[in-house]
Amino acid sequence: MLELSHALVQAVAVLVLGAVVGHVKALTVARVARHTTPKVEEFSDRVVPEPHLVAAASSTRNSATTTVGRDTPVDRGQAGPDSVTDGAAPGPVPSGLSPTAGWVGTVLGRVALLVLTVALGLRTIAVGHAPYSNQYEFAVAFSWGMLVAYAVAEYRYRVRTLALAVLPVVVAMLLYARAVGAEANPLMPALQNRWLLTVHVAAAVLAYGAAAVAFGAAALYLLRHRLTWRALPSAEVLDDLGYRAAITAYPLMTVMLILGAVWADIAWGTYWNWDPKETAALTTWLIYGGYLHARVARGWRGKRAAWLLVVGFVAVLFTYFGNLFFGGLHAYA
Amino acid sequence: MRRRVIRAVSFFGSKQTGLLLILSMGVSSLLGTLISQAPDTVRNSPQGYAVWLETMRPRFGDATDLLSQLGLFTVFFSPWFRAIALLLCVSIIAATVQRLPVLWAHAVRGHVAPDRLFAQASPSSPPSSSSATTVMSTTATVAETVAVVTSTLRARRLRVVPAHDRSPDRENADRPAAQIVYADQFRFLPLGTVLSHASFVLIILGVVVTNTGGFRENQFPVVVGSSAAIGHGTDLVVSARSFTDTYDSMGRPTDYASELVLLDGGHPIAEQTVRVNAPLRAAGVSIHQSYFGVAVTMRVQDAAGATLTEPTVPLQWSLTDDHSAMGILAVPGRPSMVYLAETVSGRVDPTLAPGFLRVVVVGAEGAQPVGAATIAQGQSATIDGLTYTFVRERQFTGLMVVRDPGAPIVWVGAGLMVIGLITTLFFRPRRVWVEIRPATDPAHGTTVVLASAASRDPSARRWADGLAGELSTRLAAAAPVALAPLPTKAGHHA
Repeated sequence: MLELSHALVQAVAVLVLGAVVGHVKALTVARVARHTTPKVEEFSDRVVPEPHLVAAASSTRNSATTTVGRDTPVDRGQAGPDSVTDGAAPGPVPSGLSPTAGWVGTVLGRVALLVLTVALGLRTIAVGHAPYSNQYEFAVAFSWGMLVAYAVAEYRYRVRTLALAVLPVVVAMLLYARAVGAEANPLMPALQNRWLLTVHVAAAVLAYGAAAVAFGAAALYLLRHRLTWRALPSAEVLDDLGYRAAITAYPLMTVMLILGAVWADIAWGTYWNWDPKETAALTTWLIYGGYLHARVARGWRGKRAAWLLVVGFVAVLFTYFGNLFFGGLHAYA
Repeated sequence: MRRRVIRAVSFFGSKQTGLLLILSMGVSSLLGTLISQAPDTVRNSPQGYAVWLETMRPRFGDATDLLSQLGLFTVFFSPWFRAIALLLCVSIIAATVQRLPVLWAHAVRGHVAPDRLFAQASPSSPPSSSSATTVMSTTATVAETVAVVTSTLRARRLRVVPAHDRSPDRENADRPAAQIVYADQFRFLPLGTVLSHASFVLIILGVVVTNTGGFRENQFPVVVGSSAAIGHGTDLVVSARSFTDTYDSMGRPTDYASELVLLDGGHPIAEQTVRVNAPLRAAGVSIHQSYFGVAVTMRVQDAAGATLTEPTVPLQWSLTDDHSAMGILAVPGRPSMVYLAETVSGRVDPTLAPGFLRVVVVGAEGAQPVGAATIAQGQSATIDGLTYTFVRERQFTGLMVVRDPGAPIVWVGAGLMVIGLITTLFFRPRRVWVEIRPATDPAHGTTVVLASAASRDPSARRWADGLAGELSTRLAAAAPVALAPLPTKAGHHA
């Protein structure tokens, strides 16, 4: 079962790589086709207005023309600039994305998530505990968290381009997992607290996954003016997506830290040891806390907020990899 | 004085100050992670710290002393880190003092419509970045419109404050009488931010209580089959009945378990098999499994053959070569110290064969050994007039004994923080005011102005848009004759 799980993890790396290629191809095709693709405005006379906008006279600025959503933040049912639809947009495809290649990338990403879920399930059954006992297991779980967060973000915001910033991180993490080896060891005594550690690690995995999405949105935001892709989401969408991902990550990080403290209190008789891993996690938490306060306090949006999200994700990676160099109580994972 | 207090509260309560302190703490934590920190065992010992500092010198070179003087090897215990934590607490308290009345007023008196919201519906008003205003018109009467608006808002599970007349003011004196319908959702949840911030102060308070109250014994060895008093003003005694360490086929540890009895005043009050993740908690103390090792029973006799002492000494310290475990024996009435060392199981020390014990007697000054001998179990050696007999080898279980009155405070703070964050970040409070008035131009029937505190949150604006759309649909259904848009530029301001 362990071998099958490991084989599936490797297959996931290939699938995610395929998803990245699919999305890149979608953009490439879009760039080739951009000169032959009519602009959004050219479709405006064919957009079907919302019924209520006909029935009741409304003088809002976001009236009928906003249903195309060119620069409007999107939610389920609304189309973003790179959204190619899935039937969401009432009019024709409003961007230059290649529908087929983008669709293939999305499907590959979702299949990868499904396969990775199975792989983690198999490993959990085989070793008798959730994936938290070594670097391999957490790397795979971290990848799963990023895929989940990405899938949710893509579903809610219809931003396939995000794949180009998030999925390469997933591929890198899976390659790292392959490099450290999939050996399964019996749980060391300190880790024999299954339920607490399962929830602790689940919170970490989901928090870090959301942080990866925030990073992806921030990276695209910062690169936006350098990229010529028409399929890029609007700056407002990226800013909002980064914020949403951060406010999802932050409470989960808080829960992770608290459960880690509870575990430390049980295992080592103190809720805080100033262990390098703990301290790095605290630093990460403070960075995201700073981001949230900066947004409220100084109205930080745009570039400065995006940079804070990039720094935050670097801190996440440092928290994960740092104990390899600094040792401490978390030396196993 | 009062003015100074107000200025101080204003300064510390500002979000900019809070942000600066959060980021300062983040940078400090990062430094504490990147730079090796002095372990607990040497931090409070000048000699131990000096020895430890020398181990840092190859890495940091000439900067070692400077880093030490700046407290960068003891970041989390340095005065400046504590000052940052204290100032952050002050900042949070000041911010809470400032914001709580505002948040409370919004929660309980939110239905009072700010004039500026409806002023935006005026063509002469500039767009606002903190609200969304939508203007509609309908052929329905004011009363009918109020009914539609109320039912629409209730259908969205908003709490609706029934329509009331808008208070006329000088600016709007020329407008026709208007009715205001107010609705909100999760109005008290913004107070969660007070919880999440106050919880941080509570956690810091818990840490202070932890560090100033209670006690902590990181190394509390108990020889199997014997007892050890906890001390610290208690009558508590720990008795170890057994200790087992188990390993898998590859020699990797799978379990450490001590069967313990806790006695208070000689009476057993709790007994439990203590494991790494299963501490014994009773009488306000918690006893944790930490380490284990070999202890040696030594008999010390004087020249006349009288036994001076016969203790069992845990060999609980590792020598720097990591090959040997060491314990210290104090002989009653003698100033000298006796160091006992044995090769750790599984290690090879060419100078000390397995099963043998090195006995080193050091004088009171601790400078030079007075004498040394290597003996096997059952053998004796005479050093400096005393005969040391290696009676037998036993096992000890290494425990941690903690009384931490600050921990419950920390847990309460942690719980409040989670509740505060969830209520603040996962639930979005909604507030809308709907002004319904007869249109100034009778041809436009009734005018409906929907204003919401959309702030700069795109999702709030989306929600407001959705509500406006639903409202216009319902109004159209109630009065199917559509009218032309009002001649206003106000609208949805982002």
